[in-house]
Formats: sequence, structure tokens, C-alpha cells
Amino acid sequence: MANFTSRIFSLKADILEWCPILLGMLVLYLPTFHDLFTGLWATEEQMHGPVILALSIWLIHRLWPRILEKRTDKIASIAGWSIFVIALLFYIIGRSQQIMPFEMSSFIWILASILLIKYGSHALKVMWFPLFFMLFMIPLPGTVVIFLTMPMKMAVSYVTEHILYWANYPVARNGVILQIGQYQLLVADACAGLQTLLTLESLGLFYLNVVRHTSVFRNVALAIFIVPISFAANVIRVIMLTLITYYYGDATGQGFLHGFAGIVLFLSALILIMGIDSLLQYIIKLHAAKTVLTAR
Amino acid sequence: MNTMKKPVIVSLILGVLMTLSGVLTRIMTHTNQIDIRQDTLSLEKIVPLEFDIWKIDSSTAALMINPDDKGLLNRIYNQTLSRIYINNEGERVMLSIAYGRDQSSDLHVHRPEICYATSGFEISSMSKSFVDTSIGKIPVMHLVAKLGNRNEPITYWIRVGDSLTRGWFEQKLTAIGYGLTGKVPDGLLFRISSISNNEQESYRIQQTFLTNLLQAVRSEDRHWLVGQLPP
Repeated sequence: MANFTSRIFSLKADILEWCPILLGMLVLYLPTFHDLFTGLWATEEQMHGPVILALSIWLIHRLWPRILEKRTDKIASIAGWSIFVIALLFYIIGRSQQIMPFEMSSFIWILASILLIKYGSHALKVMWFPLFFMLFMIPLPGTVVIFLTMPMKMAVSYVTEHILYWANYPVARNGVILQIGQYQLLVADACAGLQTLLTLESLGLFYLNVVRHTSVFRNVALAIFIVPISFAANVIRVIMLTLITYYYGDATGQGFLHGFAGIVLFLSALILIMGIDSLLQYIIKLHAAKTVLTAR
Repeated sequence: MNTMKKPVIVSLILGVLMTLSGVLTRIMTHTNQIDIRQDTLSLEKIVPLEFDIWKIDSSTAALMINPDDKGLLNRIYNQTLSRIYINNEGERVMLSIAYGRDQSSDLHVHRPEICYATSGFEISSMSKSFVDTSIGKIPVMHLVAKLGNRNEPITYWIRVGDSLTRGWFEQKLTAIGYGLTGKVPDGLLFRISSISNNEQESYRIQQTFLTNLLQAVRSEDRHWLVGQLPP
């Protein structure tokens, strides 16, 4: 009985402790997420945003039992409060002046600062991955996108042209405009694959984090390999689009573009990732066998 | 008891600070739009078809780059104007003006270095500069867009409210400056370009064009194009 009342008591204390924070978070971020879900996240290129948010919340929930011991110290508390205030400034400026990266990153900073203030630095160590992972849901500023997109578009067009040329197709390229037969294709921004790269990289990191492979080599190698993989997947998509337009005409090509191209992209990326993962595992095995052999 | 209360007090402070920030943000966000310009604009009317040594060139149907693709175009801009002018020596200048009423949000005027880049052009030698005209010094951005053998030196500025800006930083900073005073600035992209391999010569022709044009625009209409120039 005494145990029961003390549990009720601690539950009450928990509610009392977390209610103000929850309320504050709702005041700040309900409007933000409402805007996101009805605006940016409803667009095709930012569709991964809500997925990343959901996965992060799941990760935080999964890791929560690991931080329930409270160990705050002075340094963590000072750091926490300073981050908290800076995050609020980011929020105020970001939201009132509609600078999305400010507004959304303040969400991550606020979470981090509350962890620091309430639980100390060890909590931040436990939670670093979900907090880092949430960075991927912040849309890059338009200027950054443009400056990264252009060289990527050029590279995709260049590689596509050369592969098709080797395969003896009548192909020519002018900047990012591909000419095949009588058709002219402008390699669009979406084909640069910056968004694809970020989505794949984030999902890849998530996968690696959840699977928790013991081999550091495999984790790091795979995380790095996702970059060329997403590039290759994009080239495959553009080549398919070009060939479909060449053989079946413009209308079929455009139909493919809007319906099927995305699936091809992610399928080819998935196959490439799995292939490279198996290759890495094979290398690790070979290496292990060798060390065993030399140890004898 | 004391040790139990402390976390609750900390939470309360956190909650109150967050709520206050939320309220402050709400106050600072301009929900009621205050335009700084009351009269209405007609680009077709204020930019003359013929002035000084320049007249509309109807002989060429040169390919002009739209500030953006059509869908975006209608969403961002309330008015656009594009014309090709030719002078008595046969030199051509392409003029493109795009006007957007609300510069506070994502709907701000897009910079040429971006719309050219998305159309496949390679952007080079971008530099801030000033052009001397009879009505004053005008801050402009020079850049060269290249696609295949089409080389296009460009001069542009973006008016945000009453100031002229060049590049992302100036544009955003000016818009934020207005935002903090609760005003919603309008914006206008003014861009002229020529197709030529001789960039210095092109900029010289564009300067002449600018001077002549601004002289020809009625002084009460000039603010639409150049805002309030410092004396």
C-alpha cells in the first residue's frame, strides 16, 4: 500500500515536472509542424521530412529508459541554459522572419538543452543520434541547394551522355540538355539527386544505427558509399528516362517520369547498397580468416 | 521537500520562457500586411516602347530566359515584362522586369544567378558594381551566363521595398529589416542582358541603355524601378 501511494506520488511529481515543458513545446512547435505538414512537407521533394521526424521520435522513445538516472552537474546546466536561450532566439527570428532552417533547428537545440538541464551531459550522449538524425529534416537553404545541384546535374548529364555514347546511341549534350535522336531532354533539378542523396544517406544512417553492426569498418564504409550509390542510381534513372523517350516517344517518357522513375531510383539504390554491403561483409570475412591464419 | 520542488521550478521556468517566446514571435510576425506602396503598377505603361536611341526590336525572336518556369512564375510574380530593344547601331539589349508584391516569405523575387543556373547555364564572373546614371549611382550585380556558345553578360538589381539589393544576403537582410518594423516590402527584379562574347562592351551598352531608360521613365514612376536612391 505504501508502495502504491509512493508510486502515485512520483507519477504526480512527474506530471508536475513535465507539464510546463510540454506545454511550452506545444506553444512553440504546434504552429511550426502545422505549417510544415500543410506546406513544405506536403511537397514531393521534402516528403522524407515527416518520416525522419517519426523515426527520430521512435528512436528517442527507444533510448529513453537508458537516461532515467538523473545526474546533472553545474557545467551541463550552464551549457544547457545557454543553448536554451540561443535556441529561443533562433526560434523567434526564424519563425517571425520565416527562415525555416532557424526555426526548425531551434527544435533540435531546445530538445538538447532540456536534456542537458534535466539529465546532464550523459543524456545527451545517449540521445546524440536521434538529435543528429533530425538535422536531415531541415530543408537546405535554397542558395545552398542551387550551388550543390548545378555541379551534380552537370555530372549526371555528363556520365549519362558518355554511357549512352559508348552504347552507340545518337546522343549529344549541351550543358545539362541531352539530345537523343530527335528529342531534347533538360536534366531537371530533381535529376541532380541532391534530395535523393540526403534521403538515402539519412535512411542508411538510420539503418546502420538500428542494426548496430559491430564492425566499424563496415558502418563507415557503407555510410560513405551511399554518396556514389545515390549518384549511380540517379544516372540509371536518367538513362532509363532517355532511352524510354528515344524508343517510345515523349509522352511515354513523361509518363514514366511521373509514375515510375522514383521507384526505379530507389530500387537501384537498394540493390546497389545490398550488393556493396555483401561485398564489405565478404572482405571482412576474408580479412578475419587471414588474421586467424597468421595467428596460427 | 526542497529537493523535490527544484526540478518543478526549473520546468516552470523553461515552460514560461518558451511560452513567452511563442507570444513574442506571434507579436513580431506580421499577420496584417502593410504595403509600403499604395498606388498600382503597370509595367507596360511605365516602361516606354521607344526612347532616346532605343526602340523595340521585332525582327528577332531571340530565346529569352524566363525568371522561372511558368507555374512558379504566376505564383511569385504579380507582373512581368520582357522586351528586346535595339538601338540605332543595331545593338540589342534584352530587358526583363518581374514584380512581386510580398517579399517577406518564400515568394521573394528570384535572383538571375539562380534562374539561369536552373535553366542549365553556367554562371561566372559574378561581381557587385555600380552604374552611373543621370539620376544617380545604381548598385548592380554583373554576371555572365553561358550555355553552349551562347554567352550572356547580365546586369541586374533587385529592389526590396525602397532599397536596391544584389545577391542573397542583401536581399534577405533588407527583407528582414522591413519585417522587424512590421512592414511587408514589395520587390522587383530588373535585369538586362545581351548575347555577346565581349563582356566589357556589353556592360557599356547596358549602361547606356540604363541611363537612357531611367531618364525616359517619368520621375514619379521611377521609384517602382529603383526605389529611393540615396542623393
